[in-house]
Amino acid sequence: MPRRISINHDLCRGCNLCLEMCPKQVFQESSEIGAAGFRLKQVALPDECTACGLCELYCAGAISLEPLPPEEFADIMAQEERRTSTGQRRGGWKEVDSLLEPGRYFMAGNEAVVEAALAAGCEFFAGYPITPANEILEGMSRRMGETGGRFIQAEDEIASVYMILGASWAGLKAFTATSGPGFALMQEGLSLADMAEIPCVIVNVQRAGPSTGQATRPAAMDMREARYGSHGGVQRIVLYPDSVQEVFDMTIEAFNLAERFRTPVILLSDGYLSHLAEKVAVSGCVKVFDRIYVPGRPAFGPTSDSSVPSMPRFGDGENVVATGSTHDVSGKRSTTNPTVQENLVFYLNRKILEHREELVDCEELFLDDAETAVVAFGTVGRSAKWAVKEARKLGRRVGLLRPRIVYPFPSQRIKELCRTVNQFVVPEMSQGQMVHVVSEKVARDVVSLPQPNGQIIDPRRILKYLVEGVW
Amino acid sequence: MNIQELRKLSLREQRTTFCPGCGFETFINCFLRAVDDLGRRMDDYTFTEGIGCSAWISNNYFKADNFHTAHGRAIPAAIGLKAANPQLDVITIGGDGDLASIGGNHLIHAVRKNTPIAVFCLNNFIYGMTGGQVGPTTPLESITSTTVGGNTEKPFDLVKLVLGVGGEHASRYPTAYPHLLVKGIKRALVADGFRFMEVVSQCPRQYGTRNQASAAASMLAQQKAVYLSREKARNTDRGEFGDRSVFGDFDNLKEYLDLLPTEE
Amino acid sequence: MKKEVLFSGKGGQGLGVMGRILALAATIEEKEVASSSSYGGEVTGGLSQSEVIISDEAIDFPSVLDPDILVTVSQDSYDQLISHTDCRALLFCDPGLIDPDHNREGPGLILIPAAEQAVENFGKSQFANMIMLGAVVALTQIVRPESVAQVIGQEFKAKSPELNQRAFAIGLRIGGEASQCPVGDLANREH
Repeated sequence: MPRRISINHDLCRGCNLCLEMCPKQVFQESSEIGAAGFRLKQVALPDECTACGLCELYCAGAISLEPLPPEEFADIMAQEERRTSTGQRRGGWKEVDSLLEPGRYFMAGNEAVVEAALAAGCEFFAGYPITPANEILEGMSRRMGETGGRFIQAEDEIASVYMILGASWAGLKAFTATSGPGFALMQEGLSLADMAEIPCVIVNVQRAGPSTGQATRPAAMDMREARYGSHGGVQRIVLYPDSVQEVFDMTIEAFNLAERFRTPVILLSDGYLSHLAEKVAVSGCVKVFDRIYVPGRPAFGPTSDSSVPSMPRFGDGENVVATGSTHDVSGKRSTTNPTVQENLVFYLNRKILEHREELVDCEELFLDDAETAVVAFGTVGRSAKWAVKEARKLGRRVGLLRPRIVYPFPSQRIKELCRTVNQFVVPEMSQGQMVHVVSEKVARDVVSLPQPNGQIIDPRRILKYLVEGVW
Repeated sequence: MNIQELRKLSLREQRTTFCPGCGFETFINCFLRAVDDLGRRMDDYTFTEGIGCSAWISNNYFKADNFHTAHGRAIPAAIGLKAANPQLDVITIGGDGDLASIGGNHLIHAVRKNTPIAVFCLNNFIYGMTGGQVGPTTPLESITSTTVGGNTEKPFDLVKLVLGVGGEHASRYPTAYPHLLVKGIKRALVADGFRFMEVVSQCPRQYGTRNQASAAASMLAQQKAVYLSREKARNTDRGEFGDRSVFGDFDNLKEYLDLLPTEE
Repeated sequence: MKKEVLFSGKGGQGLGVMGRILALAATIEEKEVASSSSYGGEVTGGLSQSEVIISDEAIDFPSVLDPDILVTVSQDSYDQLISHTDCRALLFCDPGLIDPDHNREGPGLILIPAAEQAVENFGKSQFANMIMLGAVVALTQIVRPESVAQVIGQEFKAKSPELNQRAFAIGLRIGGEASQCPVGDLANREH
């Protein structure tokens, strides 16, 4: 009985596998040369065919063997096209009850990260041991067990970050915690999170580097890395609290920002803040944001108004294509088109920067009439606050600007200060990193007070500079 | 449905960008056949990929949720997905360079974790996309763009590697036996725990042309000469075994090693 | 009122626990508290410090700048503190572990044989930290003894709160006896 075999010459790649592999030599080359420049194949001996199926398993889709009746196949295809998402519209702001009893707690910085992550609705953690972030790993291991979340100790920090990205696509709020060497290993994955718009939180408990440096000692040496460490270098949101209360509050904020902007958010801490124990007030109700999903909407930018696109989760039936390659709004890769590439990069920056006014969050002290402004970040802010208050007692017109949100950098705010301020002083637990950012923004004298010795800065040192000009 | 119909139903595009004669077409077809035989649909599965020609199979073409990660990182992403939502049926498709070189550490740790995902490693013995460099499975003496005098580094045996770190479902099928490949894929799709399949695949363009086998058919003939079924391997005289290997499903290292001649 | 307390010794001597118990006790009393500890890479044996600041007002800088109370239980830490701090602080030492410098000037050197008492009462030096803490609390009234006892009950719930509470009580007694004498005499009496 002759088999119904046909060849779609548009799909034939000319590999000759049908000729060579058919046990019955059903196929032959014709004398006709096709558009692609090779001899067309033809079904020469349909009667010999046993429908073994080898040809179609080898072929790049050109061979059709014993097709269904056309109407039947058309039905199947129509059914397929009618299938739509099984998900429901979801996401946005909501208020949830605190997991912890409301009240005042005494906890260390790393503990506060753990409790706040749970409060923010985090249900997935993957991490790898590293000092001084271990209490977060151990705390999440214990607390995920108690709350029904998922915890994985990964084989390294590279795996950690990809695990949380996978979990994020499964719809869970996910984070990891690390320190300098591990943070460096995570940069590749964070770049993917930028590009594929994957919400996640990374806590970097900074320690003194470079390299292994002094593992137990605090530093603020990853300030620029947090913003620019990944290839591509698109806009990042970076937070750096200065007290355990702020660690708690800003960990929740980090999750909310990650979900709102579909972006990795870096929460910086350090070897001091991680082990500093202070009082933390926990309220009974937590305001959290969940990523927004609207069935059927494109899952990726660019959006015309730089708004954040709908984020389905895997299993919603959207057939999401999430990729780190340049892509269109459906996720389809577009790896050579310059317009698609440029629009995507501008969009990834814009979706955050168009909200930069709202993302200004600074502690300010005595800035109304300050001639000298100390600009400090995170833990150094505690030293700076002490020093500025003491200097005021001595009649010095000094003030403090401490951006809690480090990036996007509060450029506008710092420019406004130039009305009264003629000198900016930037003490840092590093060789001087953020001082360059301040210098870029203001046409004023900008002084670096670097201290890369693995210690928190003695506030009396800052005071001495403010009073005597000596560092 | 025939393969052409399955491709229309399950692939985003009918014409792929793979080179003529590429074994990945065979894998695609066998995978579609296996899914259909199991009475399932492509989007019942969730895919993760790394980088390389193999990653394009599911990323470019499969109509399903898929997460196209960076080079070598498909397995941790798959573990994250599966751990976060155990309902998802998570599959990783990658190449030998992707999964066994840059992602090698993730592979062996996935075996240790025994996360229930299926990993298909399309081994074409070379870095195809980047221009034909030596890879972790490139045979000794093979010519590549970075071993112009012949490869001097001993290749990994991926099945032995996975079984050696405690894998309980490791299989190997060459594209030269597509019907057996379909059956192997079906078993890998339905089995419990962590599953690993090495799909021995031909790369006529990058590997073949450098190593006296530029036609896909001749590379398939070579596969048939090298890869023996379990039964054939048992019946082959140890002294004449040479560089040959074995294909099939394996659940422990001892049985696998017993099929191969002892190395002196 | 603001008091800065520094506990100093070797890793493994329970300095972090002393700091934590004191800080928690102050928290019960609704004080502002900041507590931190630092340690070398080694879990035991390296120089270890624990700091507690207790204040009625918000604490700007959370680390000790000018200690009011120093507690030192190893020779290395003693030597380091003596060379680096001025003499304002009340200095608690364990004479069984340290050979103190009697020429030190200042408000007071207080010798509390905590390790010796721990061995005498419990057969092991493990409880020396709670004995020392009891003495510090008795002599400085930095927090109420009841607050500490309550915290010990909570913190050692799974272990042996009773033994630790007893050790703390022994410390309170030793400290109470010591407070009968002028501080200078106290130092002399011990040697």
